[in-house]
Amino acid sequence: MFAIYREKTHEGIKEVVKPFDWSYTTEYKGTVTGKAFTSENDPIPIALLKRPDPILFFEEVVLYESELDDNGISIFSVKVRVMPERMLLLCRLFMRLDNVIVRIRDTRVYVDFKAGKVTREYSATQEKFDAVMQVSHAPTFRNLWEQPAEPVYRVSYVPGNCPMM
Amino acid sequence: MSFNGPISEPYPSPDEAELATVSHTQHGFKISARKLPISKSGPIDEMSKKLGIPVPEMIFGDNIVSIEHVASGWRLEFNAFDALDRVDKTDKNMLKVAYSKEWSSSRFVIIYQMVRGLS
Repeated sequence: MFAIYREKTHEGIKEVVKPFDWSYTTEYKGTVTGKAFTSENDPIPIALLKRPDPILFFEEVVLYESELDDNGISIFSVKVRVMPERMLLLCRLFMRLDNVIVRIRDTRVYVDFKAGKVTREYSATQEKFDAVMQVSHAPTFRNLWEQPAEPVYRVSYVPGNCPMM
Repeated sequence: MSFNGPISEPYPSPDEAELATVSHTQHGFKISARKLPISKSGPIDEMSKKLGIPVPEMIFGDNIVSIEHVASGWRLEFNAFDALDRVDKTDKNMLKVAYSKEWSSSRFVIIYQMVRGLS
């Protein structure tokens, strides 16, 4: 009886230690139904998004979050902002493994309503924890939603990633 | 309701999902966001089994953000299951935590102090 029980326990443990990327870093860019994105899109017009247009619809939705067994954070969430002539969706994975690495995976979706055109951009950035701490003004930053511009654009791009889909 | 075994609650009913969804339609595009509470143990187990990896502690399995082109039926959706399905399920991209060396040396100090009666 005891032997059987032990065997079962052992099986369970084997299942648990099956390796995977426990930082939950994902390359997900959304699930498309219908026409696929091509690689011939123009870049997202950042200047037009900086204009103080009225925001008609705004939502922020978290899809998952992990504290990585108290070693940092991995949070995957989506923000959407709709203006009269255009909209922007930002889907971001922010992952901080304390004293090791900081990663950001961004998918931006831009819709030009008048042209009926949808553009999607993907970027993957990562930097050593110490380097990000040097440029970041927030000593224990939880995520980069609050101050996205500075640290994000200073961290280096991961080579070999297609910035646009 | 009995409390034997794990609490297994069903997925939210279509009505609940509908009530938790906010939408905005403009120029033929429908933008929707569905926000529901954290997934229950039943759906979590099912999700984990389908994915083949344990899911994060906080999982919003019913949350969705989508952009839909109403006339053509074209749709771009963001959901947790598909995102987790794109997490590397091999050991190729496994990270290592930083403290292991530090931790074992500080533990050594504590043990040393205990042995010497210094603490």
